[in-house]
Amino acid sequence: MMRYHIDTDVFERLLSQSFAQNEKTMNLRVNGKDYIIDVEDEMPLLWVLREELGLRGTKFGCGKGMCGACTVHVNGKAKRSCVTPVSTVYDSSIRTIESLGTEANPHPIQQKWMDLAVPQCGFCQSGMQMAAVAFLKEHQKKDTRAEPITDEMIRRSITNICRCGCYERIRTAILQVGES
Amino acid sequence: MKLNRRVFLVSGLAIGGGLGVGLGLVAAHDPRNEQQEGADADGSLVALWIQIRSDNTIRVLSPHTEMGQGAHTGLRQIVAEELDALWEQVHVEQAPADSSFSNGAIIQGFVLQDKVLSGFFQRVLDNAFFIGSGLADVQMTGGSTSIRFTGWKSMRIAAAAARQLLLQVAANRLGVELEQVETRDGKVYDKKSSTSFTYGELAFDAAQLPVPQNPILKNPKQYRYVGKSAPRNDLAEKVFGRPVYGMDKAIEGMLHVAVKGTKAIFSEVLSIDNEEDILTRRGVKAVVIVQEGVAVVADNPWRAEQAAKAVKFTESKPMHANLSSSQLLSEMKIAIQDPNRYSIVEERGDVDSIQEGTLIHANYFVPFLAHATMETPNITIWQEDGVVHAACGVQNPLSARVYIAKKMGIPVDQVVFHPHTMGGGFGRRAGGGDDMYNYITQACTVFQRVQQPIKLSWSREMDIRFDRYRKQSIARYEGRVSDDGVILLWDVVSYGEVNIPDDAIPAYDISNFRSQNVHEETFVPYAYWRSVEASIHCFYNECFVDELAGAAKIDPIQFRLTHLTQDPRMCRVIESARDMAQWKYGVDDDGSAMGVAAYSLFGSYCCQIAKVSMVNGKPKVHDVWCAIDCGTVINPDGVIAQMEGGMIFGLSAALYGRIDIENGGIVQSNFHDYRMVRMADAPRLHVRLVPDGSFPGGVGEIAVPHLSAAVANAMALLTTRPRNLPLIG
Repeated sequence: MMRYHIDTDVFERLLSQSFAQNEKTMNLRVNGKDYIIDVEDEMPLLWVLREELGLRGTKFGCGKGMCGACTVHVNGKAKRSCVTPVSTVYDSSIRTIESLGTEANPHPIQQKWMDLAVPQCGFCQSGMQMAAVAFLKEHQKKDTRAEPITDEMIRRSITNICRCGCYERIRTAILQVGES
Repeated sequence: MKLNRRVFLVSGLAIGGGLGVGLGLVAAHDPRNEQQEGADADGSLVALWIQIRSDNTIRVLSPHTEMGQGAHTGLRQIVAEELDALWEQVHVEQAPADSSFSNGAIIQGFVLQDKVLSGFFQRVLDNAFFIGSGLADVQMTGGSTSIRFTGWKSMRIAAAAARQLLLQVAANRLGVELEQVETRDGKVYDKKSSTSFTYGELAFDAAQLPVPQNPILKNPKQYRYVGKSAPRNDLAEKVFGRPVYGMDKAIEGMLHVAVKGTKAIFSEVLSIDNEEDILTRRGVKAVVIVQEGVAVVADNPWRAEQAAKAVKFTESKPMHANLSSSQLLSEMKIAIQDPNRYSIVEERGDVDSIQEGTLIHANYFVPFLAHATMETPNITIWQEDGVVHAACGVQNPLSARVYIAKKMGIPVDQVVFHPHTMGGGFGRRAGGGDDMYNYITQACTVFQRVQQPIKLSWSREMDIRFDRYRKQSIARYEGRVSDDGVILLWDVVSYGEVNIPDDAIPAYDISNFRSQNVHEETFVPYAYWRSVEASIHCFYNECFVDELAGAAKIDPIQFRLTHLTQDPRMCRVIESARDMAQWKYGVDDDGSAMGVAAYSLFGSYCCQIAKVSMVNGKPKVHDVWCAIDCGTVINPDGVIAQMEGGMIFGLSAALYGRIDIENGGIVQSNFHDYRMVRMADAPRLHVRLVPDGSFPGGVGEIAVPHLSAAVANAMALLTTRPRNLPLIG
């Protein structure tokens, strides 16, 4: 009896060649600047940010979109950049920790983060702050009557992992910024 | 290792001028020792830690690396305090990975003389350095030592000596008695005139004077920095996403390395089956067989990782390739039934003849655990100016440097090591354990092959599957309690190493007590895991004491207190947590219950009370109240942060932590099957500091072990008592 053998190596090679043929330089808008990049369509945004653009404030944590260390904003919404193919955000506005604020002009979340001494090792904190900012923005947009942000809402919405366990201060910081 | 060293204060001219003060080491068998002092001592200079420079800045060189614990800030507080300096004047820098900044000698020589060296350090120093390096190669951040030993026992004394030298020089210049000058805000003032000198102006001359060996220490009543919350030095950096972790290191022309690991740990790759295909992928430069896997070198980390995933190889079948953690568990169960294999950890009274009271049996289990630092293991290696450079975040930079030199077969002085701030350590990066530097081994092999700058970074899957693990352990308890609530017997056999008996033995007054253990090595590589052996024994002991209290029908807090007549510090943290929590024993009207655990570790005492409900058959922790006595508090907010973080770390292990082994390899691979507590299940945390003002205790690890027991003890009131971790499978 005949059986079909699919040689996965050959298959993958053909596939990568076809991608290679499709390569084209593309425009990526990050932190208000336009960058011309030339990478595979499926390369995750994380690695484009870190390696092609040198924006290393955004971190790799799990590579599966589970921990949120790689969280950035795509059109103002929190997105896990390690599982976001760059080709899906070519027409979008991307914001990373590098443009959230400066010491002279910190974002209110960053100011509160400093006031409450939130970070410990700090590795997850870029993603955590980006998630917090997106959460606050989304909430404010959703309800103009300014329904107060509750503990439960934060628990539901912020799913990033902090291995140092700074959740108590993160929650307090978001609540306090949400109130002000 | 026999103790034959003594540590002295040394001083001298710092590089670039000014005064340097630190600790020096001399061999105690040297007859000249007793006469010699300071910089003249015939011994290696341990460290010139504190430098007062002519521009009036004070530079503190910390042998410790940062992983979020805030040690550098605490050290800055201690030095600024004892030197009467301005806060802005003091700068803490990471000391280079150099034997001049080894702290192995400090721990061994200085600390052991004070008889506070525990089995933990003995292991670190004598056994754990599998690379066969000596004391001078230890530059350890672990075991909750930074503040206690480097800070309080060493830098504080050095700072006091420096202050005394500065006072002396000022008095000499003014031609007045020492009593007529005083220090304030980084200057020495003449009490009778308006004359003052900055420290910088006095530093050069101070370096010429002999250093006082027993400097006068400041009265704690005068403290202005110690005991007050100070903002962490690295706070702003971390909030703006600017710290350069090892993973963020970038070198011109650097290539990226990803690794596909073998199925079984310690297996060997025999051949690569599709090397040519891999080499045709975009950006791929080389494919290299390394220890326990195949490394792919490419121009981008994602291309390297994708290519590594596609690698097909044939691996050897090591002896343990059929082994599983459940088989190991069966063997452990047999071992703890066999008295011939026991050794006694501690024994008191007459254990074998007690027949009175209610008899309680309990068997407990704790699984293997991984560290899962947020930053996965990585290292960057390159060649520059004829020497090898390595950049990496580790808890022991000097031992990593020595390790790299040995792996590459080059002298240590041909390796420059750049320590980086770490995205978590928890023991994974400490260098004490079985083949801790496995990722560095792989990177060395690749670097020697490609001879180009490389950065090797592990995927999360590699991190979980090739970690070194907290040991799986079991224990068999037998106890007797009288009707009026007195523990008559406590007899335990546990499986696993006991290097630190203090961490395995409960503090309770028990007249008939025996703790025995069995330890046989398995193939599973081991490493310290934050709180080390207490992470195992606190769960056992604090569950069992609760079981005894339950059998006697006595409030478990009352039961503990009546058995702690010799331990007032432990009683105080228990009472404090009880009051904070408004402790209530039994199931509350809202269906919740409280559970308690109290334990001491690395010189600190801590009690935690958890309020727990069962939701869909699983424990839900609502609140935790934590009282901590760490002796003297340097940075109160820093202590609170460590308590909060330690509790969440402990809760992740209590609820979810479990590493299984099948066919000689690790089953779990990422955060979906090695789960962490997230915001949704993070309880509200309430911390109270109740320091007693004595010698500082460690705070980086003390909060970790309690919650596994406290939550289990609460669950025992709500459902069947759990005796195995994790509490949620």
